[in-house]
Amino acid sequence: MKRIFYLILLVLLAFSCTKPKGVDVLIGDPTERVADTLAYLKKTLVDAPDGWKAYLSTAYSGGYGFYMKFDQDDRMKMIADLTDESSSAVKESTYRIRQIMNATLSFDTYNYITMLEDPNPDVYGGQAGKGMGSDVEFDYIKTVGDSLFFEGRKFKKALVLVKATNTESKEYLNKGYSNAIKSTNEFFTNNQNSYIEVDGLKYQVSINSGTKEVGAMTILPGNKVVSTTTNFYYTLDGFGCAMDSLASFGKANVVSKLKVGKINIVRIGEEDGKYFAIDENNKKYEIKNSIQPLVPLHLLIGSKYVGVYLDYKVLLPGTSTDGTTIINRYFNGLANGTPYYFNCGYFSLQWDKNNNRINLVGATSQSNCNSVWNTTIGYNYTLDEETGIFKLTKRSEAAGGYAAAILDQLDDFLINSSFKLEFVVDGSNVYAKMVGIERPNVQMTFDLF
Amino acid sequence: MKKLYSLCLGIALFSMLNSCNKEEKLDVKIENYDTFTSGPLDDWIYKNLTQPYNIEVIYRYQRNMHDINKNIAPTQEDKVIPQMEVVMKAFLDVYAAVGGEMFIKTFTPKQFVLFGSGDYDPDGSVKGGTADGGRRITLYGLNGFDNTNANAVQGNLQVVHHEFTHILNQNRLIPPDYEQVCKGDYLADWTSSKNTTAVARGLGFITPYSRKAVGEDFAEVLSHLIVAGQLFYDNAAYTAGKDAYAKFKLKESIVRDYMTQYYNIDVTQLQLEFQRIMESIYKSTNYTAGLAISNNYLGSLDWDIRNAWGIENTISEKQKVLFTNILDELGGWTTKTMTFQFVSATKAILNITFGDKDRTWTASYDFDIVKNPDNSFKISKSATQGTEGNYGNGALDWVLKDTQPLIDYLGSTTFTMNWKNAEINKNPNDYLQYLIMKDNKDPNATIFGKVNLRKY
Repeated sequence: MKRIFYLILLVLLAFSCTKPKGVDVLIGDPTERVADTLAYLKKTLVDAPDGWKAYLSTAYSGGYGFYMKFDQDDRMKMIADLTDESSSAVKESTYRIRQIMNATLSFDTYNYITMLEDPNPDVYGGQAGKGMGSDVEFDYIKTVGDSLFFEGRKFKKALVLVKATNTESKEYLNKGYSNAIKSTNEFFTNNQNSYIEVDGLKYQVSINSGTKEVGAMTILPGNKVVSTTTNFYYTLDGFGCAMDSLASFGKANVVSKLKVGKINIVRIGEEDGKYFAIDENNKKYEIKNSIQPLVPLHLLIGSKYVGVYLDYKVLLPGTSTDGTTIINRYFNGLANGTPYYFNCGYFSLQWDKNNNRINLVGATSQSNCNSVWNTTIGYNYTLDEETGIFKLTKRSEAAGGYAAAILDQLDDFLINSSFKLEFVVDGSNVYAKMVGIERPNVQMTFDLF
Repeated sequence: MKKLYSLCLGIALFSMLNSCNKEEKLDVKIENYDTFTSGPLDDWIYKNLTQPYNIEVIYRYQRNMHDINKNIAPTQEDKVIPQMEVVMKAFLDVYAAVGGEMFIKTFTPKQFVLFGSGDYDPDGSVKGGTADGGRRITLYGLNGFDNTNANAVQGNLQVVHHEFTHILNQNRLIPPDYEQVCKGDYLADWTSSKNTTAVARGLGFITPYSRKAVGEDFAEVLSHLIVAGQLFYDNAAYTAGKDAYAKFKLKESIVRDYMTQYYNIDVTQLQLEFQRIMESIYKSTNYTAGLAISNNYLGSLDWDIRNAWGIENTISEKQKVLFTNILDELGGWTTKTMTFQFVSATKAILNITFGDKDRTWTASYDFDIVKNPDNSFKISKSATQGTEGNYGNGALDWVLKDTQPLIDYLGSTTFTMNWKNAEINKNPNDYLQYLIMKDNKDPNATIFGKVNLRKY
C-alpha cells in the first residue's frame, strides 16, 4: 500500500510542472498592447495639426492653462498662463512617450509646465522641495471625444488636452493668450463686486489670480454665507474650471465645475466686452458688477475693512442732524473744546474681530495733521449676526492724548445706543453708515478703510 | 515485488527528468520601448563624449535616476552643452593631459545624469551631486548653472572631482593607513550643527562633510587639493592648529602617494593643469599670487639670491644690484639670510641676519602692504617700526647704508604679483614655488623670491 502511494506521488510529480501558455487569446500579447498604446498616443498627439489646448491642476496652487504642439521628432512648443513671458513667448523643449507603468507622457526637458514642479522656490514660488505640487510625467488614462486625459504620476492631478482649432492655435502663438489674460484680470479688477444672478439670488464671483482659484459666494436668509471654490485656468476668452483629479474617473467626470446654487459653472467667457458665466448646459449668466459688496457690512468689518474714519471737518451724505451734532462736537471742539489749541484732527473706529473689541481713536494736531497725538477709548462689543446690531460696553477710558473732552458725545452714543452698519453708495464711492437703534435719529456716514 | 518496485521507481525518476523540461521556443519579443528621437544635442554628445570616451549623458528626465521620493526638475536643454564642456575641459582633459588618454578613457564615469534643480533634503540642505557604483555621476541644479561665473564653475567641478575620486577608490582601495589618521573622529551625523567647519578643521578634516566617512574624507582631500588649490589646503591646515596640521599633511601625503602608486599621476601636475584651465578658459582669479597675498596664504619669501634657486633662475639686474649690496657684507659682518616675512594681508617684515661664525644678529624693518584697485601692490616701510633690538639694528647707520636703497626702491613703485610660470611635463616642481614681483614702472625690474609656506 505504502508503495502505491509512493508510485502515485511520483506520477503526480511527473506532471507537476506543466505550465499554461503565456498568451491570453482574448486580451492579446501584452507587449503588443503596450506598443499599440504608445503608438496611438504619439500618433494622436502629433496628428493634431493645430496642437492642443491643455490644463492641469496642482496640489498646492490651483489650475494652469497651456497650449501645446507636439512634433514627430520628440520636440514640442508650449505657451502657458504662468507669467507674462510664458503666455506670450513660445518655448521649445523635448517630450517623450514612455512606457513606465502606463503609457506616459513625459515633459523630459525644461519648459513652462516643469516650472510648476520645480522644487526651487526661486523659480516660481513653490514650496522648497515640493514646488507647486505638480508632475513632469503624466500617465495616459483615456480618450473622450477630442480630449485626452492624463494623470500626474506623483501628485495624481489631472492633465487634460483638448484639440485646438486653427484659429485658436494662431491666437495662442500670437500673444492672443496674454491679451486675453490681461483683459480677464482687468475685468475682475474693475468689477470688484462682480456677481451673477441665479434663481433670484446674487452670487458674488471672485478670482484669485495668485492661487488660481475662482470662488462663488452668496448670502442666504439669516446672513448665512455659502461659498464654493475651484481651480481655474485662463482661456482665450476668459477662464475654465480645472478638474482637480481623475479620481472619480468612470462617473463621466469630463468637465470640472464651480457649483453655484443648483447650477454648475464650467467656464467664463467674453462676448462683445461682456463676461458670462456658462453652465454645463451652455446656459449663460451675465456677470454684472454691484458697486456695494454683496455681503452685509457687519460681516466684512474687521476683515475686509479695518474700520471707519472721518477726516478733518468732512461730512458725508446720509449723516443726520443729530449725527452732525456729534461729529461737529469733535471737529469744532479741536480749536476750543480742550485746554489746548488744535488746528486739525480726525477720528476712527477700529475693529478687532478676534477679540470682539473696538477702539475709538481721536487724533489731534497742532501742525495741520502732519503729526498727531492719539487718544484711545476701548470698547468690548457683541454682534447679533442675524440682525447686524452691535452693542458696546466700555473696556478702557480715554488714554494717551488730549482729545478725551471732545470725544464725549460720541462715547456717550456708543455706550448708550446699539447700532447697525449699512453701505451708502454715492456715485462710485462706497461709505459706511452707522444707524442708532435706541437713538434712531443718530445717523453718521464714515469712510471705510 | 522488489524488482517491480525498483522498476516503477526507475520509470518515475526517468519521468521526473522530463517533467520540467521546457522545450517551447521563446517567441516573445523583449523590446525596450523607452526610446527617443535624437536631436542635434544628442549628436553633440555622441561626437564629443560617447565616441571618444564611451560616456552616456542622460539629460532627459528619468525618475529612476534620482531618489523617487524627491521632486526634481528636468534640465533646460541649453544648459547641457555648457555643463558638459566644463566637464570635458576641466576634468577629462585635465586627467588626459596628466594621466594620459588611456587612463581617463578607462576610469572616467561612463554615465553623467543631469537634473535642472537641486536635490532638496527635508533638513533644508540641497545636494549638488552624487556618484554611484564606480560608474555614474549625477549633477543637480543645472538650470542655475552659469559657465561665465568662475566661482560657479569651480563649485560645480568640486562635485565632479569629488565624485570621480570615489570611482578611483572603487577601483583601487583607499590605503588602510589613511583611516588611522583621524580614527574615531568620523561622524555619521555630520550635518549636526555642532560639526562646524572650525570643529571639523580642528580635528584634521578639510570640510564638515569629510567627517561622514573615510571615503568622503579621501575624496574631499583630493578634490580640494585640485579644485580649491594647494594654498587653500595648506592655509586650512595651518590655521587649524598644530595637531590638525600634522593630520592634514599626513592625509595629503597618503593621497598623493596613492595617486602615484596606483595611477602614476602626480597630484601637483593635476593642480597645475586644472589651474591653467580655470584661468585661461573660465577667467578664474582664485589662484593668483595677488590673491594669495590678500588671503595671507604665504608664509615668507626667501630673498637670499645666493642660494641655489637664485642661480638656477633669472634674476633681474635691478634685484642683483640692490640685493648684492646687502648680501655681500653688512658693516664688515657676513650677511647670513634675507627673508621677507608676511605677517598678515597688510603687514610684512624684512629680516636680514648677519654676524660671524659665532654670533648672529637680525636687522628688521616693518612694511605696509596695500592692495590697489588695479590689483597692484604698494610695499612701503611702515611709519612706525617695532621697538625690539632687531629694529634698532636695522636703524644703525652702517646697516642703513646698504639697506636704504632697497627700502627706497620698494616704496617708489607698485608691483604686480606673479607666480613663476610652471608647466606640466616641463617644470611642474616650480608650481607655487616662486613669487615674482613685477615693477609696474620699470618693465625690466623684477624681485624674485622663493615661497616658504607657514609650518609648525
